[in-house]
Amino acid sequence: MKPQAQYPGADRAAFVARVSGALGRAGPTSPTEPAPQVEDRVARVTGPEADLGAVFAAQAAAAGMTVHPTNRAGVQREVRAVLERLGVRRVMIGEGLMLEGVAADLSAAGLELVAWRERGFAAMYDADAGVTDVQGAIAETGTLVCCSGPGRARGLSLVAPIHLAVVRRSDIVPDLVDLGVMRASEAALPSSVVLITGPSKTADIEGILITGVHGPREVHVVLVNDA
Amino acid sequence: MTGSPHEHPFDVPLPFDLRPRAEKAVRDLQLRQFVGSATRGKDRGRRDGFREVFGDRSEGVRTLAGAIKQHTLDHLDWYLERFIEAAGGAGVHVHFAQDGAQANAICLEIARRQGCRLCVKSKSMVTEETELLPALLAAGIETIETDLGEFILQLDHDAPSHIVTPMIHKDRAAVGRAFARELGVPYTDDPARLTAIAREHLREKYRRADLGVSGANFLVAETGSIVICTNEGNGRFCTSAPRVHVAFAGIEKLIPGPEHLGVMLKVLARSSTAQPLTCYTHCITGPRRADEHDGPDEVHLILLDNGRTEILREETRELLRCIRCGACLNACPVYRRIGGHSYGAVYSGPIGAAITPLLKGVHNFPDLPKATSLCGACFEACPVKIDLPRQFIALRRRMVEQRVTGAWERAVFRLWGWSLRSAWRYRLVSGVQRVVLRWLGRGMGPNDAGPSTRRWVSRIPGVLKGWTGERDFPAPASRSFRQWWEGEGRSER
Ligand code: SF4
Repeated sequence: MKPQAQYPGADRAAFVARVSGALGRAGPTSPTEPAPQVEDRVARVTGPEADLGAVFAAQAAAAGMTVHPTNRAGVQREVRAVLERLGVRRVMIGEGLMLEGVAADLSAAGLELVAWRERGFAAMYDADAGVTDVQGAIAETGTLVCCSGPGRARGLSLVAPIHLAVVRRSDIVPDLVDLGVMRASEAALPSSVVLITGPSKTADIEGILITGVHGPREVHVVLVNDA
Repeated sequence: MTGSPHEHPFDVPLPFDLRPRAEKAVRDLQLRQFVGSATRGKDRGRRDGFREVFGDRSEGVRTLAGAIKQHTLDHLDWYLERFIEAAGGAGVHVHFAQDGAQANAICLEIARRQGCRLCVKSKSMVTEETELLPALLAAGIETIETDLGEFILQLDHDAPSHIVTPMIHKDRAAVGRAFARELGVPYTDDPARLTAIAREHLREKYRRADLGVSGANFLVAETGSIVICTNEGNGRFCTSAPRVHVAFAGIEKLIPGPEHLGVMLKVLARSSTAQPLTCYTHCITGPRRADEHDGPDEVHLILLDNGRTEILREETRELLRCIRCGACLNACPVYRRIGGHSYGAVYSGPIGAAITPLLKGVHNFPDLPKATSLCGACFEACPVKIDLPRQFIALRRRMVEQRVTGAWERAVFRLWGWSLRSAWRYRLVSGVQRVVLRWLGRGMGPNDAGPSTRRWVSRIPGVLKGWTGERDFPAPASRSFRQWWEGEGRSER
């Protein structure tokens, strides 16, 4: 960190001391009681016993995403079919196990591949669609979990009017409270983790729902049964 | 509708007088219809959503969410330290602002050092509180609000009137006119077309922006993460496309760990817009790493106090649990009628009525703690179970103690208190009251009347004239219940 003193504003110790003062003590001391436990009986909506693929598919559809079920062998075919049906010409493709061979296949089918790796966002504005895998999915809410990292740019799921995500059944965790578990299994938290639940939307004008405000107008999920 | 161009609704003379604004709002039938139907719809959606998903566990999950926030507040200094360490470790520059002016100065200094010229801003109530936008503009930094509602308000020089749906008070024709006037596009009032125009306009800004400003919904102490919940995706653009990201957050945004985030997310969007989750829940832990392709080179977080440590004191602490979901606004019979601008400050509705006087002084906003019927609808709606009615009563007590309450009002209540101390005093005072009120109501009803007939008082003079300003006041019967009971009442049994 840069030395804070160069910036305007308060100094850290004084700032925290004021908070301690308001709490009626001299300085920060570790809490005497533990943070509230998140008990399943109180907070869990979806349990591991549920049919996670079915719950996820239903919730994702309810959130406005289109789900395309397939199996392992069918991924390339399904991705191409969806993009062709939507008239996509320029596509950007992320890296991931599920996406191997997808770029070659789409290229062979005559789609233009957008080179986004070096130029980041600047290259993405002209793309018609972004294709990604996911680093998790949540059945309870029909949510995609997309993390940033090498081969996984933030903009792939945001900038183009269409986002297509390939989700394996085994990616799906039951409930939002399982988020903590997911983090524990990662070495370091990625700099960007975004939970995506439906297309970009607004209801700012007279409460009328409109999709595709800033982000994707459509989100398609190719759901791979890898059980 | 409210807000003529160039006149900021929250630049109010102090002490703030709620009445003229509320009266104007109440007479604006279109405004009332919009705000009324929008809030009722959201309120119903919230209740249905909770019932459907949690059933009879709704209470339990709200209690848990409230306990998580309360626990963090009870140990806020400790969690702040943990957060600062973790965020710093992830490469976030953490800054500390005692007040809004400091927060803005920090942001300007960051912009200056980085040579930023164009700022894209996502929706953030805290930056409304610090009045960042005019500060950035004054420093010569072109700044664009990118949340569709806020973008429209900025074009129209208006201010948000709801903490979640900022332009709840505006209709599509007003938007069409603003776009035609300010963006030079042909007039349309089709919401889809208007949204598409805004999308194109703002994309151009994202391409060029070098500074992104956001708020934060949660700060996770254990991981140092900044969590931002949005629906439109502008928040993601603002925090990913420009090379510098500056987040503003009040110190009350902290939660202990990621396991708690799940619980808070479960209640936030459901209470706010009746969605299971907002479209985007973005969890940012530091700037772009060496092996990444996009994202900001620098992430700064400005932690803001601005009066919060005062609220953190025991009695009012629970108010800082607020996650700004807006459910109490949607549930409030007063907010539904008078709209957000009547509260004269950034935070409106029940939560605004409770915190504005604390942040800015009860003597400056003496009407707000009274802008409630104490019906408790806000308490019932609140996902973190803030006992707002209790807070209003505490505030009123504070107003009396600090002599903010007028001399007349205090005298009347003192007399009332005196009269309740024994039977004869009560009889005396209510007797005088009856005679006076019946005298005022003379000529408005039969003179000989028995207990069941009414006289009406259409004008009470002096300090009580407010009572009869909008309606007649029923005068008491010629005899009190006691007198009637002691006469024929008892024998009628
Ligand atoms: S006080 Fe409660 S209901 Fe009102 S905005 Fe805050 S969290 Fe929501």
